[in-house]
Amino acid sequence: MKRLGPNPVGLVLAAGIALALLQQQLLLRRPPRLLELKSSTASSGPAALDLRFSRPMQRSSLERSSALAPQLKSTWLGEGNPLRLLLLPQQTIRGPLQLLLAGIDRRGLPLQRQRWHWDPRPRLLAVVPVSGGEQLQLQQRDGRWQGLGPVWPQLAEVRPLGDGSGVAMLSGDGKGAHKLWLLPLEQQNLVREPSSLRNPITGKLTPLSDQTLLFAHLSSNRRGDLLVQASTTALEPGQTLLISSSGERRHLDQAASGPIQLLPEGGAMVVPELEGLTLHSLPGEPGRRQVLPGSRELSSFCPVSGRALLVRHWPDYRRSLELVEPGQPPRQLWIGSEAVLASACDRGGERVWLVISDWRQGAQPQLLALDRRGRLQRQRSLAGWEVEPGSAMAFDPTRQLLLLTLRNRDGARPVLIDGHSLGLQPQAKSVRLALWLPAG
Amino acid sequence: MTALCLALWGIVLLGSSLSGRLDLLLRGVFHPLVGFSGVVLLVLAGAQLKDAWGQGRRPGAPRGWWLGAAVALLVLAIPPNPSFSDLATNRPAELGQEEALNFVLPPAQRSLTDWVRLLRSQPDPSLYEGDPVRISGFVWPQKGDQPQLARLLVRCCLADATPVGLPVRWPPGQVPKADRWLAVRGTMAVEEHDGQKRSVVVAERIAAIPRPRRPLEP
Repeated sequence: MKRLGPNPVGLVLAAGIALALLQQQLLLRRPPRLLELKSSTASSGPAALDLRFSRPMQRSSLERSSALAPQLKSTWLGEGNPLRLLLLPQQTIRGPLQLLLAGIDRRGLPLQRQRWHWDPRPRLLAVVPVSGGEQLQLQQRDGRWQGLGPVWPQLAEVRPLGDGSGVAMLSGDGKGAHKLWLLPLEQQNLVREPSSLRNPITGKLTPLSDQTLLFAHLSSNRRGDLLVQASTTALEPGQTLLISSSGERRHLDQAASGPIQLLPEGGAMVVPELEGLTLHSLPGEPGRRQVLPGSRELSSFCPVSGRALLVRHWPDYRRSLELVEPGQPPRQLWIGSEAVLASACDRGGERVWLVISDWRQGAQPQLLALDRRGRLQRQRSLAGWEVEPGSAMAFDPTRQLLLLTLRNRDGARPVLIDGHSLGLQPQAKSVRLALWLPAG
Repeated sequence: MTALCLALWGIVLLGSSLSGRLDLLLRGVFHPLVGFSGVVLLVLAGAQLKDAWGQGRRPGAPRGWWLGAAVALLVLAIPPNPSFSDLATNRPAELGQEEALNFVLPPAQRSLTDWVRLLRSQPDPSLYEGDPVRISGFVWPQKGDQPQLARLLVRCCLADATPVGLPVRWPPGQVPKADRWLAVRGTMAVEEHDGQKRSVVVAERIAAIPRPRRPLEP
């Protein structure tokens, strides 16, 4: 009688099923993991963290079990995965934060408790006059200044990349010839070990163009893309080059009557044209063009997407400051015969600051704080100071501080201004230009 | 009988892909595949018929073939009228990992699906407060809450449908019935729900619309 042996096909099938069952049981018992933790590029509060987990989490358990030190008011947003930890508005971040992250997923399995150290405050970056020319310098957390890159006869323009990963610079020889450079920066502002929170490390200075340029205008967005408008001769309109954060270069066939600005959230750019301000999609996005007619110029972007401050020039030589919001006509916040030297806004325009100057009153700058309806909240004279030409005003939501480069009898210096009281805090450093370097 | 059954199912598949019936079941990208299958069935039916003619009288077909033919006739005779809200209620609403999102699109040009994806990737309701909203979708009742306006996302077909809905603050006394297709104009607002802030569409203008020809979104 023939003896029946094991059926090989059946054995393979059984082994496969057993393996699948084993894998299923292992996955079922595998605790959730934190896959990604990054500082959010846009938030309605002073700062926010975006968290992505391997499994949908119980938001309420994270809210209960996680903790921030020092204790700041915060809220967890989202539906399980991804989640956002948002610091509530009107709070000031005075130092690095410690985040204890704990909670359970929707199956009830716990996330491994972990501690993170986070410093979302931007750093002060300045073009500093030094022996032999100008140098880019960075203020460390302890207040000392660190030189970034070599000394050039002139630093005509400096633009930190919006994701904090570097600084684009236009160096000049003082005789009208310029070169474009990129200085990569490695920042460590969200780390496990407190000792890893350190000053940025500079990478290799790289030329962005082989040609000698007559001028260049630079713009960047929060993704870290860089837009360069440059020309080698005075009579040519010049070229527009988009260098994406991945390093990909694209020449844009884009005529403009002034400096082009990349939209902070990415994907589009604001182009001044003869008929008004136009919004164009960047290459790779669905083609779109919107026009805002009239004699307007872009003054500053607000942190909330789609909001910006415009300066409108009227035929009777008055100027007005307008808040532009999605789907609505620009809203006039201020109008007057004074020149608008700089502006900045908080969140979606809840608070707006502008610096105006009237030559009839000795060109003494005034700093105004307005609410989103244009009502004057506070005003202060900047008597004894002049706004340094070419400098912009920028708001740091983490510390509620405005940054301006102001000049007095002793020279130009970075001046921090409290967003509420408008109190001035001049920094003891001679500079030509001061900017924020995003924490990234 | 075999040829008749194959031909009927061929007509069902081909007819459904040509008439737009498949839009209720399957993403458009798969429609040619179904139409091609219908053609194959019709060709097989033709071949079967030719064989049957050549062999003369044959024994009767099994009962299963008759049943198949009857079902095909019913599918042809009765127009489909699915309840998207029932389906949405019984499907998980996990969108999974999204590819890189870009929302430079002006708010009024964002579809309901764009809004849901944006709110999940950037869950900060205050960022969108006051934005204009123009969306359309079907009414999806919610337990213990006002109905949402929703859409069904599919990768392939209804079997993998994922409902995505936006909370809507309907005008007083105008809470719509389930499954109605509506176009809503309004603004985005922030409200407190279950102890958490969330974005809600404050409906200002509501118009009934016919079900879109292709109601499933990729």
